[in-house]
Amino acid sequence: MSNIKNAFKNGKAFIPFITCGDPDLETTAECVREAVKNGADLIELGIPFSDPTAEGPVIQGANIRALKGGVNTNKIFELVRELRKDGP
Amino acid sequence: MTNPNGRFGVHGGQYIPETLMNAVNELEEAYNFYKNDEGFNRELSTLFNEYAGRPSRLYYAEKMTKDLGGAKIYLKREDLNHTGAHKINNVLGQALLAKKMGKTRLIAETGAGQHGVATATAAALMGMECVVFMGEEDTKRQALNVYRMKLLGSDVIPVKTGTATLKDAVSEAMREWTSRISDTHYCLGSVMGPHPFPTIVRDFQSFQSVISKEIKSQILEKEGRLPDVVMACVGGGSNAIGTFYNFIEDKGVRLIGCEAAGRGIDTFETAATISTGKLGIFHGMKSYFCQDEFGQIAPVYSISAGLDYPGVGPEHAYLYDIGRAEYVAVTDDEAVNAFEYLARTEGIIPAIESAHAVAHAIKLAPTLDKDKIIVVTVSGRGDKDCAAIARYRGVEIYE
Repeated sequence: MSNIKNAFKNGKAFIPFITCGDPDLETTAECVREAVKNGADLIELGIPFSDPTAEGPVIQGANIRALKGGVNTNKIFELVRELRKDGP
Repeated sequence: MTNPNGRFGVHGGQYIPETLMNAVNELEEAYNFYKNDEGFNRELSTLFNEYAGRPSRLYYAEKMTKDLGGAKIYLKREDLNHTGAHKINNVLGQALLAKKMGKTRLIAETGAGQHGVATATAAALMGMECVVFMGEEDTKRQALNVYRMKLLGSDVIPVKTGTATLKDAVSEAMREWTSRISDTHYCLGSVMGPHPFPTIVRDFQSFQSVISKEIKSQILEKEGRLPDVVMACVGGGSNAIGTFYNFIEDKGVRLIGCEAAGRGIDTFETAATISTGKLGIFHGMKSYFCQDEFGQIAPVYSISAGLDYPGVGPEHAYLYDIGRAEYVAVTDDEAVNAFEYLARTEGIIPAIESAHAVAHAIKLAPTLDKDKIIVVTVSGRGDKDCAAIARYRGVEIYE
């Protein structure tokens, strides 16, 4: 069974959303690890975009802070590769 | 030119949040029903003729022609329309369509304020509520248009996010539409955004395509033949696609779009999308966009608020790909010179957007023989720009 399917085995899943690189990737890694410790079944990582049309003001703000911190897709995939080493 | 999924070659499409799909589907269905409806077209044509003042003139610019000493120059006078620009063509069509769909509220984005003013005007005429989103930077550059919209009974919401210009106003209008679809129509101002907007705003018989429909019959009447070149400025590209549309199949007619180069295409302060952009996805469409290597949208710049947009309509991207239309970049300096030139030479003050097309005509005309014909669309009038041009020239004026 895939990890994603497995997360829904009890019907409902707790899926926190984290904007990558807000305000830096070290914080993102820490947030992911804390979320796992506190029972997250899946974690949705947001890739920041300069013009997030579908987001409200809170996520828009997170996107802007993240981009100011210099995050980009290469660094985010690198982070995910690192974090997956601790996962199932 | 467009296939059923709203594709122009690889461009166009519908890259939007799930929450907007119902709204664009509902719009497409209504448009497909009304586009060939005799009653709808009669009503729209009456609005065009009696209210907007169509057809607009095709004027032979004799002094300009003689001064430049080359091709014969005709100006398509969209600046003479009610509200002072081509924007009213699209807005009357969409507002009428929205009304038929039972919508009672229009929302719109605006850059220079011309589309906002046109939407506010149509809303006043048709008894609809209206809210216009405008980048805070643009509300300062175009304060007079903000007042005009309010005078017409609209709310104007300054958008502070991002670069506080046109792209941010589009994003905010899309967000607003997502949160309130039932009574609201998003009256998009250019041939951009998700399908069906690029197809609706251009249309094939009225909306913006009316510009080339009229040019064709007017030039045949005056010259007995088609022009050699038709040209227009391009931001999102609505007046340009309107100018091109009925000539696309006439392969002998060169189509030239004039983009805003800002301080130059070799600087970061530019809005020349086709000259400097790359393929991308933004505001619901695939097209060319000014962006960095990771796909983040670039903060573009032009003296013209109406051309200050990092993308271009998908049909233009396609016409460029297949080599049917040419796109050139015109700097702030060249546009301001053309603005002043047309005022002095022909007694016509063009919008600073339109001045980009005039600037290229000034370059092109002397290189062509005297028996060639150029048609330049003057998309809007320049009263709104006088204060900004005065500032550009270091002249202090008090409005």
